[in-house]
Amino acid sequence: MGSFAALVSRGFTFEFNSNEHAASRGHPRWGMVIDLDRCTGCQSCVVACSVENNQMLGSPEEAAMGRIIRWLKILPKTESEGSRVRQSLIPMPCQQCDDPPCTRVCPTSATFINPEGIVGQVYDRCIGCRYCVNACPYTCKFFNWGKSQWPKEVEQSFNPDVSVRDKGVVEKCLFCHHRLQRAKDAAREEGRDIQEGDYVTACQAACPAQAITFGNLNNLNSAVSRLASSHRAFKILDDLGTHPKVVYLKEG
Amino acid sequence: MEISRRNLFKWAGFLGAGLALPKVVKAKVLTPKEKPLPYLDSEVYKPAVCKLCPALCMLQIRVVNGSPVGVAGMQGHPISQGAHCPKGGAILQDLYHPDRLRSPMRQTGPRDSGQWERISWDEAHQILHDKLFDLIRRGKPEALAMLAAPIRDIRHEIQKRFAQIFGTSNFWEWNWPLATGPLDAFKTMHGTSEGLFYDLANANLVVSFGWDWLQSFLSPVEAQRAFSLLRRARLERRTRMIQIEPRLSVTASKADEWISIKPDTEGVLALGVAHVLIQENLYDKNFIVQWASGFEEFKKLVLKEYEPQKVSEIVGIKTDQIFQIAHEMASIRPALAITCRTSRFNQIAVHSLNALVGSIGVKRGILATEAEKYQLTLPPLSIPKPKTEPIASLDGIPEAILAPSSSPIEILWMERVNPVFLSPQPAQWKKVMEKIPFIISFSSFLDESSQMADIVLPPHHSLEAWQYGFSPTLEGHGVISFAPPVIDPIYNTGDHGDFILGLAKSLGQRFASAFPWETFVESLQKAVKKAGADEPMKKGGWWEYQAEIANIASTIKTGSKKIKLASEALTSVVEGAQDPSHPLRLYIHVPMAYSFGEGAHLPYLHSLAGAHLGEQWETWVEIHPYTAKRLGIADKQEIWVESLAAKIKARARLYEGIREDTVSVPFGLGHTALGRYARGIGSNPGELLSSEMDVSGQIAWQRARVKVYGA
Ligand code: SF4
Ligand code: SF4
Ligand code: SF4
Repeated sequence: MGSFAALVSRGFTFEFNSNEHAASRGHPRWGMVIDLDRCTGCQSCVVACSVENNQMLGSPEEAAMGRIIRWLKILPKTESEGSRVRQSLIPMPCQQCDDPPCTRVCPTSATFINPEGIVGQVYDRCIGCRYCVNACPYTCKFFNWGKSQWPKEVEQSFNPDVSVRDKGVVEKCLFCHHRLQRAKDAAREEGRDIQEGDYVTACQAACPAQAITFGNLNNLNSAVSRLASSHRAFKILDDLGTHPKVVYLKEG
Repeated sequence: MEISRRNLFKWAGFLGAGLALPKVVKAKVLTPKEKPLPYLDSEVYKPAVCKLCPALCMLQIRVVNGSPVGVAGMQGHPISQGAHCPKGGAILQDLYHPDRLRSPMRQTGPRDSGQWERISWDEAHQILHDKLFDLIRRGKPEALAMLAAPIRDIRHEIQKRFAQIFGTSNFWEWNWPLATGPLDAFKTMHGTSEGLFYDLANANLVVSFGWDWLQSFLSPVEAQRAFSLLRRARLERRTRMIQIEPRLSVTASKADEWISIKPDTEGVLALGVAHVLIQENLYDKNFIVQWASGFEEFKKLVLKEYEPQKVSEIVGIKTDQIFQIAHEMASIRPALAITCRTSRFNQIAVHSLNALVGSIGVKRGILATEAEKYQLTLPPLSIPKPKTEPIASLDGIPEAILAPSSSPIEILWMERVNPVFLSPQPAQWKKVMEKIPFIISFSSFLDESSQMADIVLPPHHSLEAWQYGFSPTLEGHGVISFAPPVIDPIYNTGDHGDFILGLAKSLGQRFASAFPWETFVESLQKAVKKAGADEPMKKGGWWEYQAEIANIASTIKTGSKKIKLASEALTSVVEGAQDPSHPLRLYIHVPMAYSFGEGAHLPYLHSLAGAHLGEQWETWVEIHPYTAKRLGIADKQEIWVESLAAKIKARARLYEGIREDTVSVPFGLGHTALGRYARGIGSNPGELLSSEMDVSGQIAWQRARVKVYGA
């Protein structure tokens, strides 16, 4: 129980995964498992997410104000007991709560949970009141305080599937939702249903340690649902009743 | 907003949310804030070879409407295996960097004045031709020096051959010591450094002496993969990892055990461990008798000088821990002792442990393979040996140039290297450059060293030209990777290989006949044909050569055919002088974001550097809370870090993961050049180092002593 107990004592609560909070029956329920035993904190996933989703470049000034937006961020935790020091680096995308506090407070339905369990964010509807930012216990929502500055050369590398957010709107990890649309489209063109492995998130694809597994939690044969019921599985702050669909596997 | 196929994709999934809005917000909500997404006329995925580090991963670049817009690792490629490292992920920022050089440039003002004019490739050719021809005419070929990036491809071969034909032995590969295995130890002890590999992905016990290998392994992607395999691939045994390092690095935090020693004492600790192994008869006698020479002298020295009690005081850990490491290494077989290429003393001391426990030439230990022989090469040519020896080893160049009244080097040719930033005491290298009459730099950016050049020639980006590269896998197999250009060159850049071929042709028959190809691609095609690798060459791909895992004998190229336990390199117990005015030790660490000391020009990488402390886009100093309290330093306070050589400003960060007698600063920031995202951000701890060599004749990266105080 070594590091598992440690995580709990560090303030994380957990719940062994169950599928009782499926957003709705009969649909896929997209979820992610991050194996902290495999993850090295290299942050290839962070860069991949930034590139995939046209995230702001950043600057020393924005960093100093804590305003750099990274949908996938690293939650650091350093602790010492006497001379023993422990540290974890936990990759944290939006936890894609099944019961998301962020959606409940949005006056314009700019953020909402769709039938497949993905918590969406429609930028055109967001009025920037930041209620959702404050409601998210995982600090996974980001407000655009200023207009992103992009040299015109860099604009050429924008992912055309993802729009660039304007000043005054909130953004967050959408489980690379545009990739789901593409995967569905490709499956439809081939006249079949979407299968395991068709929909791969950018962070998952980049991870050299294969620490990230993604897929349909409602499919009991999927790798993600098998791992989510591992004895090492836990969820962060699940006692808040948010029911995340991002499941972590403890170290050791 | 126009409804295109793309827009439909984007919104289809979200429309289910409904639009039951209060009237007051309706007007606001219905005003589109986003630019419509562009049409997607054409979309292809093209193979590419990433040349941002020597690992040479293959990538898949998503090209939409002719522009690269996405990056993924190449599925199945033996090195990248579908993934990429943070740098590879940011390769498009390198391609589209707004400060990339767009044409050849000539410095019009004094060196480092920043006054440049554009020139044509022909003019650049003529200038260099005249300079080189002058050296030939005066019979001084050794006055040409070349510093080359350590990337193994045919352009590199062409460049090396050019130096050989020219007749200079002053050709150096710029290896980054903190991201390379102990090549000097291999050379001294085995008589060769070629073909020796740590079997990291299969090890049973990894004892890392000061190598933060998860951050700075030669191939970052393979390091992460190896770790993941060690942790979860084998059911029968979970690899035990011990990290010996002054700081709780990422590797230390992922290891089973972190043993925090004083900086630069890894070698002393290794010999303390050797003492226990020998004293308690725990070493592999059969191996030593059969395969090692010099054991008796080694034993004498180690038993006399490296008694655990004494060692524990020097390295700053408990004596018990020395015994524990020795006992583990003796019982979990084969144990792998790894280290990077810092001081030669440390390298040799650590590698001696592999010999003592018999981990050389065995699976899960040190492998030897013949992967290297599979790399594509130019057809052999017999070239007479240069008449003069090199002026110095890489680390000794500054002294060799600064000591005499005039520089022995008249032309310095740099290819994608930046010694004025990447060396200890960058100011020293700047002085070196001031003294060299003519400098040419092949570089995509005006970095610190290129600012000191007379001519700067920007090569094509790796996505803009044919690429070929050789790299060995973790298991020691050879991989050759090819990729045609992903896009046409955006600017007036040139092919580095073609430029050298052109230069050779104009320098006379002796040169021209050594390079019988019109273009670099032609030379590549011929080499490929000879190797029978035409197929992958055509469309981009790779070949993996399953090299034979050689037996131990083939790891040894010494005259005696035995591994030399080189006691002469280990004679004294090294303890730097105490200096009460600089009471703290400085430990430099290299975050993955700036692996190989490079990467500060890519904005996405800045956000990764200090995740454990929430630090980004600046230089911080890790200082133990007790030490900070004693010195009256608060968390996040700006402080000076001062050594005898220089002082730099940085932000103090209290961190339990650093020894109380040591402070740690990340390397990679503090550029005075290299474009808008690097220049003027953070500080360079390299300035704090002295050019002092350690006892084994290598620059001491981790020996500086400093004091810290409020800024
Ligand atoms: S890429 Fe993988 S190993 Fe690296 S930080 Fe992300 S999850 Fe961890
Ligand atoms: S993690 Fe935060 S942003 Fe994501 S669904 Fe939960 S509450 Fe919303
Ligand atoms: S799922 Fe996509 S959007 Fe979310 S963290 Fe991963 S890469 Fe970023």
